[in-house]
Amino acid sequence: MSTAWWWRTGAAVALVTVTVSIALSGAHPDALLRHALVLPVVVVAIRDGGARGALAGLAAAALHAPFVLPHIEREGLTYRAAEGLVTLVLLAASGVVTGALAGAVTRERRRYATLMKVQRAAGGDTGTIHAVAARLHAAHADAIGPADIGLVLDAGPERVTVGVVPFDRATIEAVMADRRPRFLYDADGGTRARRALAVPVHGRARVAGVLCASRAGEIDAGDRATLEALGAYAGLALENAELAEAQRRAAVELDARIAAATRHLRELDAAKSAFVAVASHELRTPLTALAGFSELLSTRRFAPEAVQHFAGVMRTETARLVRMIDDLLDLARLEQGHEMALHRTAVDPCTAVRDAVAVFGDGTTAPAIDIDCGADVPAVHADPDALDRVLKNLVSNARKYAPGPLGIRVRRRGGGVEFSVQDRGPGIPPDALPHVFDPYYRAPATAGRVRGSGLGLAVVQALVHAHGGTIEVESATGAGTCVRVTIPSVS
Amino acid sequence: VRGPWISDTPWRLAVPLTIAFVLTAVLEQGTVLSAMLARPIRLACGHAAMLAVALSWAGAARLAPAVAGLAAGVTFVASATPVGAVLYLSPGLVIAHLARRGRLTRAGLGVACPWQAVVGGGLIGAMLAGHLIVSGSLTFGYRPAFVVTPALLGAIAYDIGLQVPATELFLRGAVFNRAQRHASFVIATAVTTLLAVARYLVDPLLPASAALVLGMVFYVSVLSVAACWLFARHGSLAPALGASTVFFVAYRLLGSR
Repeated sequence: MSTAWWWRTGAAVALVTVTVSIALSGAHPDALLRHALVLPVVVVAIRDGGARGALAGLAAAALHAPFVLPHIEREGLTYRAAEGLVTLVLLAASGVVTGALAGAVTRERRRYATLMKVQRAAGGDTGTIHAVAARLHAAHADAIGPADIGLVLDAGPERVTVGVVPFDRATIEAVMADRRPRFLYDADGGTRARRALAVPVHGRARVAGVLCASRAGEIDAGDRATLEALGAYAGLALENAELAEAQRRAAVELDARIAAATRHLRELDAAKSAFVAVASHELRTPLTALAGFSELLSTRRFAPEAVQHFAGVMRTETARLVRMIDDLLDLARLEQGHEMALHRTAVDPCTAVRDAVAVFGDGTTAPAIDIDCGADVPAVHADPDALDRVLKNLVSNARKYAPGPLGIRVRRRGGGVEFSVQDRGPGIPPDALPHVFDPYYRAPATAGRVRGSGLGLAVVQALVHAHGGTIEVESATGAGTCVRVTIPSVS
Repeated sequence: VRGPWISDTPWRLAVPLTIAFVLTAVLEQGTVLSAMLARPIRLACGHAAMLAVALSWAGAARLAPAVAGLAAGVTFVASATPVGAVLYLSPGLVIAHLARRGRLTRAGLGVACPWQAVVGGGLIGAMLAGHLIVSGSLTFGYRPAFVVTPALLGAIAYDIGLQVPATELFLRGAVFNRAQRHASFVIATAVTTLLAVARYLVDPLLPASAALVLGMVFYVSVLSVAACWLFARHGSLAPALGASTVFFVAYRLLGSR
């Protein structure tokens, strides 16, 4: 026997005992003991809710009626009879009212308990849609007391179903489409009518699914309202959880971006520091040469051949100095967001290549440069000075890192002309390859070995892009490097 | 799973029986027919119509004419002779047989039901009957008569064998059972209880006294609500049959003033 059974039995015994006591004490309709009938009625109503409270109240009234009605039959509607009649009404009403209030309290308690569970189920680490559905289903287990709960969640093209769903697919889709609940008085045609309710689980933006409840027995208006409210709450909780999850992901992503940007800035800062050191050295070297030779020429007398030699050296160092300062100025302009000023005209690519490589010697003092110029190469639409700087930078780079023979090929490609500079040097390490166009970047393996500012390829790339062209580097360790530049042709 | 409210109704059987019932009542009121003749006809037609509808709605339409005919036949025979009252038991036995064979499960008979529920139904009937006896004797001066007479046995046989099974099958097994699949418990119970009150108001055996009619309305209403609740709670007609049987048998114990 359950505790509830003992309470009900105790209440029944109490009602009978009070009735017998009233009967033994004279069976008066206004006996003082009649007030004791209220106690078991209220106890049953508080414990078992509206229906049983009403039954208990009716039972108490029915038990007291034999003391009231015969009195009216015998003596008419006296003051005592009126008191008895009022007692009958109050007994019935106390059961109904107390039961209704107790039922409402129980319903509210269940609702709040379920709300808390839904909040916990939807919050935190949301996990897969199946896990969320399982948690939400478990949270609604006691939403309206004993009932089979089912949940259908919208997971894109499919529907995730947990628990008992006594509705067909079309009904579920209809609930999701018009956000209106559906109620079945009998879901399965069994000997006990099985009530079933489907309510939308909807937030502000969308319908996330359908919450179902079914049981053999009544699902009254209060339970239906509770389920509708819980459906709406679950929808909002899901939506909030999704928003929180999206915010968390965004925060993580933002953190990662900030970390990457900070790392990049630190690298850039380090590279700039290194550049300042290198640039100081690079600027100082030609200046030292210029200062030394000019001092020699101004203080001493030399043979005309020697003077010519000194002048050649000074011219070379001056050119290097000019090139470096040009690079620095271009880069500064680009970093400030200014476009390069180009004076574009039709330039013969083969002539441009030959002019550019002329300064690198004729092959007697340095390894030869093999120029392969195609027969049908059209003129390019380029700034002659800028194109010259691009080509000289590429050849100069190749010379610095790959002292061996060098090949330059000029070919028509698509709507432009491709210049490829191929060396037979050690190649660029794979980890350095993505950074070769970064300003100030110098591959760690060569930074201490080869002179350079780390500006050359950055400036080349900027110039090529300013022409609307493309540049790409292909390299394999030990197999040399090939830089391909494409400049649009005049046509 | 709803289906139309009145599908499977045996109109060709129920309509003539109802017309005969009403016509007999009118003729009795106009003293064209004597009460001795009219009452058996009304009882026979009423019970036959209720059984026909209940069995047809339970999916045993082919058996409905036979059982309705049996009910009408035994009513006539039993009215003719006091010993024949034992025949009242035969419709009940036939219904029990059909229930055992699973032909009436859709009416809630022959389905699994815990014995505690049947005992609980009997207790409800006993409490209501006890209240009826106490208040009847205190208020109206009806004293319980515990003397076994052929008339009392005949009345009890009528209740057990025909009146209670036919009424419960019709009101709970058919009307309430179908109503609860179309509407809420409250509405289904209200409809069924209204029909129950109407059914006993037109009962030719009801004494023509306003106080007794009011008492009948009260007790039949409470009994009907309890029976509906038992049926909805357990999905079986057995507890409601237990409550009604105990109540009406106890009611028969009320003697005259």
